[in-house]
Amino acid sequence: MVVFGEDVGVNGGVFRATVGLQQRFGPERVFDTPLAELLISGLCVGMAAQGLKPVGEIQFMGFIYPCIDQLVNHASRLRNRTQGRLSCPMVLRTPHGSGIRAPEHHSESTEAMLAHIPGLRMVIPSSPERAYGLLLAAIHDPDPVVFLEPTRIYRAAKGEVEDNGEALPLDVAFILREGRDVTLISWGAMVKETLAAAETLDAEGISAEVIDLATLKPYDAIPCSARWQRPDAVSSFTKLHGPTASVPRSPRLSPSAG
Amino acid sequence: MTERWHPDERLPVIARFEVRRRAYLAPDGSINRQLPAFASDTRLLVRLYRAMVLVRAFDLKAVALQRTGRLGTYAASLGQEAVSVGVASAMRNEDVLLPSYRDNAALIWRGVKLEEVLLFWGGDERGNHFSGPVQDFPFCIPVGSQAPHAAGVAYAFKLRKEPRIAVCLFGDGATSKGDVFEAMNFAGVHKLPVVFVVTNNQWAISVPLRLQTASETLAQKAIAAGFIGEQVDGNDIVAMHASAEEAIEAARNGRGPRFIEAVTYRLGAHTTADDAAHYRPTEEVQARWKEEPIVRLRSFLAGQNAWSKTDEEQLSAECQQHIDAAVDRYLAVKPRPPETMFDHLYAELPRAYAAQRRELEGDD
Repeated sequence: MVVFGEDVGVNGGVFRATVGLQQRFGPERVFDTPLAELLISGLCVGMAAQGLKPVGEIQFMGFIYPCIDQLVNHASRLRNRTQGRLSCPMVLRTPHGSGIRAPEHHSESTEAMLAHIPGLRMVIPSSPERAYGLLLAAIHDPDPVVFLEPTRIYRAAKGEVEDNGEALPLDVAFILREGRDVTLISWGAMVKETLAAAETLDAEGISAEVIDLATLKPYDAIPCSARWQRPDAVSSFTKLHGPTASVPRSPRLSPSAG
Repeated sequence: MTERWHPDERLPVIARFEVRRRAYLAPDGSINRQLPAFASDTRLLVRLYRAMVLVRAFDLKAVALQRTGRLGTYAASLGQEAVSVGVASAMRNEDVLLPSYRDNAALIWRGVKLEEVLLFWGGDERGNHFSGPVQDFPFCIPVGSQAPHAAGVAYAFKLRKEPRIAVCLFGDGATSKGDVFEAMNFAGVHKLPVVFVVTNNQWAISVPLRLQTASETLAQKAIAAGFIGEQVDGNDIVAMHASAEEAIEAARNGRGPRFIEAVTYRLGAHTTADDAAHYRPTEEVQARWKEEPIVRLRSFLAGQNAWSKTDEEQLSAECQQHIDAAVDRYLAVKPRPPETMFDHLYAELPRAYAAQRRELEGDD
């Protein structure tokens, strides 16, 4: 495994996510790249095809767009276009979303764009436990994963996490709160707010279920669609997240979806 | 020639650069300078010659297949066969090739079957699941995007301390892309075992070199990335092979990346979907035909009494046989059922897609 990106080596990352790694594993495995995002994603493709496990970092999601060419044209389709002869087990991590008073272009949440790339996985944790377990899963995964790290909860979400090497499952959603009357679906930094909203609803006598999507692509259609048989569910979601949020949809979203 | 910024001669010159040009065989096959040692190995030269002839004949057949609706749009290598053959023949099996989309000759030299090339251009992904070294990269369509891959591959070799090199091929148009400079720049920083070869065939579809760059040579772009570039007569297979051998050896021995600018000419159209007469005069193309690589080597070999008219006729017949057999095999391949599009989408098809796959299966 190699870890690289801008400022991730000596500096330990602008969000301190890679602190101590270079000291521990050396500058050949943990290194600072030139300022070149396309290069970072392209390096991942070449290294992954050679059997390394590259974990590249794009400093902010606002700078991931030069990587779209490498993600769409190569990473996500290398396995398919070589019929399995080559594959691309890589992870591209990037800070996601707003809430830290950063300058413009530093608060992007354009996961909807990446969610439509076939052959890619996209994962976003909402808590320290899921950050640990999902990142491990992403690293173990034999296919390319874009791992979004909500900046707002780098520090704001705290919790004890056992370093037990146990990964969480990808491609499944997590039911964080059971409820009967309405389903609230969320991801990333908004999960915390959604749980708080569920508490408020509870006080008003409304029992709200909260689901953390976690893997945005491919997303877990089955548990969600079962719950979307209730007409209230989708409207609650858009009220929480506003018209700009979009859920990557499976082709049919109806009670008969299975 | 670039002008000087400052006429003040008292300002110290802190860096000077040079680019050299390598050539051994003149267009008529005569010798310009002392040949490298391998050029006395007639058997090797004949192998190189046969490889170029095969690719040219194969390209002609592929174009014919496209014109008769049995192949998709196809990019022939007419005129630049010596570049791919010269470079590929200097590589070892365990090295990794990262080609563009106009490097058939390099793939074929390294063991890719003719029918696999046809499958690719026929729109079948099985063409990229090709014979030859299993770690070679497939055809690359997005121009220059293979360069960062080459840097990644080379980094893996260096990290694992393997004496292998990555060879990255692209065209003159690609050198205008950020991808290529970013990869070269990184390779320079880390002294990676990678050789970048630009096939400068003067044209990027209809855009001529003078609109592509103001740089006096493409070879000098390596200087900005911190390593050495040389310009080579890309129609001189002896020069191509020699340059590639030396560059590969340097990279393999830890002396860092190298850059080769192979100057040649795209004698054909960009692809079967292009009519080059729209943008370049036929007189220019006719003039360039006089410098082409196959006749050049044939003239040299004939001059050495190493190649006769009979040899030529025999080779021609062998190539036709070989190509016809490959075409038959290609045409016999049945298209796969649509549900196979899910087979290699991920290592294991996620549940989210299972229903879609079943739906397609049910329709058969």
